[in-house]
Amino acid sequence: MKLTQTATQVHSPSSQLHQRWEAYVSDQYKLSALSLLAQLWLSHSLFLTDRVSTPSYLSMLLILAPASALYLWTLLLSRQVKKDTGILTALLPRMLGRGLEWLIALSLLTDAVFLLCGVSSLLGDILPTLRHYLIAPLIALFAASSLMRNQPFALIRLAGFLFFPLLAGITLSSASALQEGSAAHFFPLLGKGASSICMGTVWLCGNLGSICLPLLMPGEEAALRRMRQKGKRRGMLALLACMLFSALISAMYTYLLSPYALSDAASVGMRLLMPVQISSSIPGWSLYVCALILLLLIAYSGSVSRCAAFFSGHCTKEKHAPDWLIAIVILFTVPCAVFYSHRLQNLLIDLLPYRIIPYLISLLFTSAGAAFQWIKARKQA
Amino acid sequence: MADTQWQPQPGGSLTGTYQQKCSQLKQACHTDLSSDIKERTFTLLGGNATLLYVDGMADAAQVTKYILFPCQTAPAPREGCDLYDHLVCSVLPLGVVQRTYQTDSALSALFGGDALMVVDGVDGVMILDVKGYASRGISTPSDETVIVGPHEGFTETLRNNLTLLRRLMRSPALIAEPISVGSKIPKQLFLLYLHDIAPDESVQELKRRIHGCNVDYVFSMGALEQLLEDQPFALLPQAVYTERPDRACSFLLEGQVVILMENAPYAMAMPAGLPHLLHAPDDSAMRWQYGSFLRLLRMFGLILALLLPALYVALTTFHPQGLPVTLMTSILETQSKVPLTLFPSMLIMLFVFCLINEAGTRVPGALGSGLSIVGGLILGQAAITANLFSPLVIIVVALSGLGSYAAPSYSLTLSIRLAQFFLLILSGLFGFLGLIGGLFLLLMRTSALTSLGYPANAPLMPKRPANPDDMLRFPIWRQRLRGTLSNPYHMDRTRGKMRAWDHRRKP
Repeated sequence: MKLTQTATQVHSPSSQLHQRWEAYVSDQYKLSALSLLAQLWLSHSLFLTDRVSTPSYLSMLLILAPASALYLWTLLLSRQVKKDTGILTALLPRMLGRGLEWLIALSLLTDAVFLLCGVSSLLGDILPTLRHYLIAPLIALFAASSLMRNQPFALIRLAGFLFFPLLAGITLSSASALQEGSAAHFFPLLGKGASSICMGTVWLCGNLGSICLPLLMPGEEAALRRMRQKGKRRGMLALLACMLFSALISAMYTYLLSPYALSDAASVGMRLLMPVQISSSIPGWSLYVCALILLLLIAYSGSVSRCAAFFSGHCTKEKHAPDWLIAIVILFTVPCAVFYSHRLQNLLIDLLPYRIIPYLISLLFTSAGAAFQWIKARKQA
Repeated sequence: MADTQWQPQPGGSLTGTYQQKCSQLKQACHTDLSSDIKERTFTLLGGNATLLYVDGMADAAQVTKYILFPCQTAPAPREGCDLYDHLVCSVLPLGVVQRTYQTDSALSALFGGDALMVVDGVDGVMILDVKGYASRGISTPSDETVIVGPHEGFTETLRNNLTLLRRLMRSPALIAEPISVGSKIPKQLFLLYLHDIAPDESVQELKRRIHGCNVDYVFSMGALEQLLEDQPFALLPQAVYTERPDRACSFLLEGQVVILMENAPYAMAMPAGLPHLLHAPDDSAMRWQYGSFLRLLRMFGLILALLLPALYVALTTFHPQGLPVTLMTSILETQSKVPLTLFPSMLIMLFVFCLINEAGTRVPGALGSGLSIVGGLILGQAAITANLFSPLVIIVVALSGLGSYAAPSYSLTLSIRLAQFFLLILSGLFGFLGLIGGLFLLLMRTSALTSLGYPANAPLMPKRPANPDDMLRFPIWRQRLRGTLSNPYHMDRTRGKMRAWDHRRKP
């Protein structure tokens, strides 16, 4: 579906519908990828930069192996259980029913809180004249007025449209700071030691897993069922590419910052702004800040709309969450961000990776069920 | 009471005697009060006949030459021949002669320039096409000027406009369906589309909406647009206007439906969205390199118009770290002499700019240049000399104004100006938070926009298979699709290579 394509498969209303679904799913993946990137950026600056120190990019690279293994395992499992759906979506709902949707909704709610805290802290740092308690409600107001009246469709389209420009903006503005970095920051190669790297990897596995797994949940199943195999692979590739991109960002952060440059007391905003604070590029600063605010705003709105959709059980394209539910989710996130403190930040950081546990348990149960089915089928054969 | 008297009775029939029909028509059109409605009674083949026409709308010379003279010298009909058939076949040398039994259709024809003839012995009323009202000739479009391309524009005459389109598209596939809107005073429209290329859903939806317009009178195409659009509170228009027949043809070829209206010197195409508003008529007439360059320039201008004032205020007021020190020093130096702070200065200057622009539009042509000199040069210079405004503010406003003029559509220019104020106020209050939040809000509203149920900004948001003719204009021979608005069965413009003679490359 290139915009510059000169030939098309569209020769009937059904093929037209199919292409529209494909575009919708592609845009939805881009929204998810943007959310993922925003959370990685935040969690990286909050957790990895000072706790794991130098080799945080190694932690990032290390999680590619378990992520790929998990994906292959679920693919294998789903083929055993049901042939027409090649993803995890068919399996998990069967195990947990409606409870799974609530679990994902809660996970997305913590994402939304995390993102709102991050963006309001960033804005608090760059807008010292504005009262701190006004920032989070203002962001929530922008998100609410954008999402009300069935606008989640619009958010998905917008994410599809802004995906590459946003990535390009952030990359370019960050790259402008590269001349200020030093390769010496990569040494000692193992930073605070292998144990720190492993700790970082486990933390990232938990955090990323709990962000990625909901992407494969029932909301997308209805859409994916209408797509060709190609579409599924592309969706997963987008996630993989996003993780690689994050590894690059992580390496860039390490290249720019001395491992011990940040104190524990440094706010999220200070940490996020660090790459451009050390840069001498003037337009780079504006571009970076604007792109980052937009990225966090999109990610926050995405988390809110998906959270409300999962709470209401309307996680398909045809229906979106009612406005009142979106409003409730937003209203819940605002006080958390207004009363944001170091303690809440630490609590969130500690809480985020554990969200993967219910998914892993359900995956285990599903694996057992699939193995049982497979043995039964072999006996019958 | 008077209101119900002049209003044609819907379904009122003209089936009585000759005298009854005459008095019914005369009463309905108030011949005793309206002096321009002419009534002429004469003898036709021994019986009576009455002719009614509106002076100025019908051509008096044609009335005499093709109706009165032939009727008064008509030969007697053959034995057994119906009088109506005899008049149509042997007496009246006119292209269009119709018969009606309905009062409203008779009155509609009368006030549309036709003549009505009531004949003793003929059922109903005869409608004779002798239109001959004064109209403006075809001239160069005033708002959509081009360097490359034809120079003919639509006029206020519906028939001329239809002819202009027919001349460009000499094909039976071009359907022109007459339809009227307005309950008290119906206004004639033509719904034009290409058979098989425009999706049936678009045509039917537009007809449904037009039939569903419950108004007494539609005074302009803009009023009709407001009655038909999907989201009346949206900032961006959901229909595109053109006063050029060649552009209307390009809309038809894309599968859009074009509406022509009586007394409207332009055509309106629906569904439409942002990509249509960004295109200028001569983009396609130029070579693709030039067309693409101009399109990029235009988009840069619009982004400048939208963001520059807000960005300037946000940076100087809230985020000075985003500006070079030398520039910031210069801004502070100039600003220190000005009594107002930057945000109200910018707001006032933008308002003044809009005022000069509006005054320049409304003022008679000869005074236009004088007003520009007074408004732009003298006022600007005086404001700087009197230290009322900083020169940088005037430069920013001038640049953003220049950018907004790059928009090919006047509706788009106005929506950019409104959005400019919205973003400026937000960024003046909350810095980058306001700017990005406002931009996010605008982008969300834009991406949710629909026109006749179609996503208005496709193929950009959401992505759809389309011609490579959106942000950039790729070569004509790569534009092989009609676009997302056309019938999916006929989406391909052509099969095989467009440059079939060229064996050197594979386009």
